[in-house]
Amino acid sequence: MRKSLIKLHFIFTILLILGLSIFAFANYFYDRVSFFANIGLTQELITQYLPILLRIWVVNLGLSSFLAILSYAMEEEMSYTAKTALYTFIFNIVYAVLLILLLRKLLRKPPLSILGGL
Amino acid sequence: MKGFYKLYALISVGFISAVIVLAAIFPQEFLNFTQELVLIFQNKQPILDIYATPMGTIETIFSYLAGLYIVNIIVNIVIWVLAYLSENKFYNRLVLYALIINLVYFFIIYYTVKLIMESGFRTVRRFFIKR
Repeated sequence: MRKSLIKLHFIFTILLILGLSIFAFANYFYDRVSFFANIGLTQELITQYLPILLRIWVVNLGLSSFLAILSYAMEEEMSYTAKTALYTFIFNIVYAVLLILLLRKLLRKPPLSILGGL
Repeated sequence: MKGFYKLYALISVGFISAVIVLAAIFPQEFLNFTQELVLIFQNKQPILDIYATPMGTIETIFSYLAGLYIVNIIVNIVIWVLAYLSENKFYNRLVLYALIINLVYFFIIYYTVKLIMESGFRTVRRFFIKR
């Protein structure tokens, strides 16, 4: 049961990170790539759901760290379950660092180009 | 003793996880609190002036949680030293795991706030707040 929950959380994290990346990519390149408009992904839909996905990811980040320490405390060794929870946490942290670096690059651009991207 | 170390590690990481979740649920209030904190740093005022600054309820909660978080890190270091002295590998690794998680979050929040300070709050709000 515990193993299944951690596996489910791991899969959910991967899918969430993928989904968030696709939405962010679509938001930034919407004008230059017609693919997103062709599949029915409008700019309004992206600007509506991107902040929601970002907030869900932040909640997932907090939850993953708690699950990581909880798994290790319950298993009392680095078992498969504890390792999976740790990897989930590491993925979230690496993604957070990448987002900060990307945000740093974006926010150092002149304001007009950011608005165009957003 | 095992129960004590397990409970402490869970409370320590649970606390910062709860703060992160709260920041995700109330991003506007979190950014307001960060803005007030940044103003205090920029005006070179004592950090405790944040508690005298008039803010909303959620912002005040964030200010007390931030203070408790710093205390949490210090207590975590003390508990880790105790766990190390117990010569028990599991206790040592568990509390160290909790300490590393807390420090990772500390640095992520620090660099995010530093980035917000450099870029300005209005631009960052657009990323997180749905209009």
